[in-house]
Formats: sequence, structure tokens, C-alpha cells
Amino acid sequence: MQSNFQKGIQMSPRRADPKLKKQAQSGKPTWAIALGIGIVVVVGAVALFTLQTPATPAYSPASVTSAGKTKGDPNAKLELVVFSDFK
Amino acid sequence: MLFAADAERRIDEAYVNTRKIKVTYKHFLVVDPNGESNWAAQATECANEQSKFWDYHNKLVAESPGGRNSLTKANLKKYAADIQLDAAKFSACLDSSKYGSAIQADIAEAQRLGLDSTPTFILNGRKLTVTSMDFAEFARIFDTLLK
Repeated sequence: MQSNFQKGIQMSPRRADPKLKKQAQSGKPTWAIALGIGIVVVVGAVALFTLQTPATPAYSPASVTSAGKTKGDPNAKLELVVFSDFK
Repeated sequence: MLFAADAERRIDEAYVNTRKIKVTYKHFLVVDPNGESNWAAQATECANEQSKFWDYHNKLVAESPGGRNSLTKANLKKYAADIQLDAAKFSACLDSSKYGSAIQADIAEAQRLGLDSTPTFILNGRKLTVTSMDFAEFARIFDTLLK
């Protein structure tokens, strides 16, 4: 008489889960995959666009012209002329 | 020069560097127009030849706040070397006094405008009357006009 242990584990042939089969047939996984792909494509496109679009250059003092005795943006709204000396 | 030592620096930070205002410097020698004041003005023009007017201007402000320290030719040449100007070129320029007429033109313009003290400010073509050299007063005026 063989014990259950001696008999070994007997596995039944693999069969598809009837529930999953039913889901596949109903098209739900396909819809979810399509949605997932769509999200990935949109996120990727946004990321790609962001990387390729030149960012607005941050201000750096060097980017402001200093032509001779004038400093600042030539198109600035205000112009201040300073009459002065060094004593 | 108290303006240059404090308010000007803050105006640079808040308005010039943010492209709201451009600042132009003109000479108006009220004190000692034929002495050190004149040499200092000439020296800034010589620095301008090497595209370093504002660097040299800032150096003078730092070395002689309020015009208190001596601005002899020797010192002016030393300051030029300190900010890596071509010393020989600068020295030759200063010794030549070649910007005398340009400086006189600025002075003549100031007199034509009826100015009588320094510093005096012209904002968008109009004389700016301020009661102090405080940055806050300038900022208040600028902000009103920038609205």
C-alpha cells in the first residue's frame, strides 16, 4: 500500500482557467492592453517633446548686453541715465 | 558715490539683470574736475576701450567708496591691472588724456540739462528727483512706471 507521499504529487493536465478564457473572449484584456499602450505612447510623446523643445533660457547676467557705458537690455522699458563722478 | 556703493548694485540685481531697466553712465565732474576726478573719468573710458567699463567702474567704487581714497594715476593703473586689463594699453591711454573732449561733452550735456550735483538721474528723459540714495525709493518709482 503506497502512502500519498510515495505516490508522489500527481498533477492534472494544465487547462486554461475557464474564467480567463471567458474574459479573453469578451475582449476586456485587449481593451486594457490598448489603453496601456495608448498611455505609454502619450507619455512618451510628451517626454520626447519636452526634451526636444528648447527651454526658455534662464537669465544670466552675461546674457544682458553691456555695450560700452550702457548696461541692461537695449529694449528695456526704462532707461536710467546716471550723471556722476568718482569723487 | 553712495548710490554706486549700494543702491546701484541692488538696482542691477532687481531691474537691470531682469531686463526691466538699462542704465547709462555719463560723466559729470563737479568735485575736482581737473584733478583726480578727471583722471578717474579718463580711466573708465580707457577701460571701456577694452570693453570693461562697468568692471572698472565697480572696481573704483570698491576701492574708493564715496571717493574717499586717492585716485591717483598710479592707483588707477593698479586697479586696471587688478581686473586684468591690458596694462600697457591702459597706461598709454590714460597718459594720453585722449578722452578729455568726450568727458567734456558729457559735462556740457549735464550743464545744458541744468544739473548741478552728482549723482543726478534722468529716467526716460526726465530728471528724477529723489530725496535719498536708498534703493527702496528707486524701487518704488521704478515699480510704478513698470506697471
